[in-house]
Amino acid sequence: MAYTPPNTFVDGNVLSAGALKANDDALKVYLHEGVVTADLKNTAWVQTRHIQAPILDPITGVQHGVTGIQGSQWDGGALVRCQFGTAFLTGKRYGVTEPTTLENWAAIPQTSFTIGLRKTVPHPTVIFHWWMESNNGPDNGDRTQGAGAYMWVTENIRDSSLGTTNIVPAHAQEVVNNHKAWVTASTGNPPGGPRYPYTLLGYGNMSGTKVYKTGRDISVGLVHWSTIDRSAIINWGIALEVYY
Amino acid sequence: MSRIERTRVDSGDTTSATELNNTYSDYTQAPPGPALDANNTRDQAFDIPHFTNTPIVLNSKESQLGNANMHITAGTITSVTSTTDLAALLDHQIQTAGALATFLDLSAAPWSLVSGDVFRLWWDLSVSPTFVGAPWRSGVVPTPAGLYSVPGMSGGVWNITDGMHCWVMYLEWDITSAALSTWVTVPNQTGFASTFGSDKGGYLHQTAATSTVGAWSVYSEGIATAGEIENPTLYEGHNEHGYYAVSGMWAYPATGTVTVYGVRVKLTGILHPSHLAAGNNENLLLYDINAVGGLSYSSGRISAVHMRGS
Repeated sequence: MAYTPPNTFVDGNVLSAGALKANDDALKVYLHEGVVTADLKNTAWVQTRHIQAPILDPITGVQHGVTGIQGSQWDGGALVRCQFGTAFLTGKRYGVTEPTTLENWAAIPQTSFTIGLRKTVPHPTVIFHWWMESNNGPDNGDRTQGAGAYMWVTENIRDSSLGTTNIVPAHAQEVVNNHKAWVTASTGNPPGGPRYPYTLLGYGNMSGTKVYKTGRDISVGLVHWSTIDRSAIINWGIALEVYY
Repeated sequence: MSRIERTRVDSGDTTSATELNNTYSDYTQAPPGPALDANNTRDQAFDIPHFTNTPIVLNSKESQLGNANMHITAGTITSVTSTTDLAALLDHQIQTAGALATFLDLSAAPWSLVSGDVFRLWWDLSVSPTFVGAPWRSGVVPTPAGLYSVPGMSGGVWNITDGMHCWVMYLEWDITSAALSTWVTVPNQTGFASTFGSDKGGYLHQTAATSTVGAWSVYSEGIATAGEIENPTLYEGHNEHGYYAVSGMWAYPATGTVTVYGVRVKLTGILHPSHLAAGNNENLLLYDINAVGGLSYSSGRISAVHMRGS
């Protein structure tokens, strides 16, 4: 509402305290709760300083602002510099059956964000980015000395509306076991070791982006399913964008 | 109303009804309002509820790329072969093993970008380059690109490769119609079909939406001595990469109106780095039809968002 003084004063009339107070009270109401969009100047004038500053959550590494959430983490902080993926968690040394339920997959620690949305209608868009490098094996596992052993990595979104079906196996990215490092070298016995460097083979370098709409508080992170005895995830990073 | 600057009335001053009315009408916005602006607004005055409820992300979509299962499931591998004739370049749209094209299909509800909007896209695909023998080194006349003869141990001269052969995966979009029959490379992206003398390929500076896939890994098993290497026919290690994930991203800030009906990932190879022989010696990626290989892929994903600029 625009402000309109309830009383207009006229020369020669008695000026009453009540009339002055009524104008002041109306002004007080207007300035506290009466300013509406129509009262604002209709050209761009809002500056950064006028916008509520984002709130940083140092534990999760994200900041909440008026237009969304953003943040990132890389490795596990000062004390955790390596993570593992392993077939001993996911229970298979080789597989011909696609793992389709959440129970088949194991979370990769410290690769997730848990966020509380400040605005849910219309549903915000969540964009989760990740990358990692891993040494996979060498593992003298089944199937041609491990040539058929892989680790798959994909996103896991814990959203109560999705239950346990949120993982899409066909969206998982894969990296093969560094089986060449185990096979008999042209000289010497297995493992070949440094003679067979971690080039692209078995030196997984993955990156992915998950785009997702939700109106609920969620946890989004990475899970793996592996048939390799162990994969050392030596570098990784995750980043989050949420747009209201 | 901009900043109110009115001399205050002190004790003993004489005022009038007009001055008193003006004091209050300073706050009146209509007429001539609206006029409240930065002068009337404190710092950090605006929080989430003050902002428009129009989403910043106007559109988003995620689609399957390649096959719809992990490759341990039977029948979920698609394979292509490299170009061996420059008169018939082989490029390939990512599809299922059953030749069903997979791409970001927006034709049913096209995304209309206006100036200032941003189109962002990400994709990934699990791939496995393949080859037979040692196509980077032997059995081919003329020889493959990147082959060098260097002094070898035991007095020999060995042919080794620079290992830079690659496949390329790049983006095309259809911004013409929902018929999806007019695919063109996205801005700043080559289709690798330009002619450079007797070669074909593309400029490196036109690879804004390109991801490369190494064709093979080749390395010496032996230990080099005094600048000499072991005989690669005896001590060369090489292998197919095995399945691993390749990914790409691309962003497009619209400078005018563009309607996007679809985006797809194309694949071609095998190429090798080169450069123009004259002028600015600009870097190129050229087909090497003397290096023959294949590429298999399983599954992946393509996602995009359309963000408003204002």
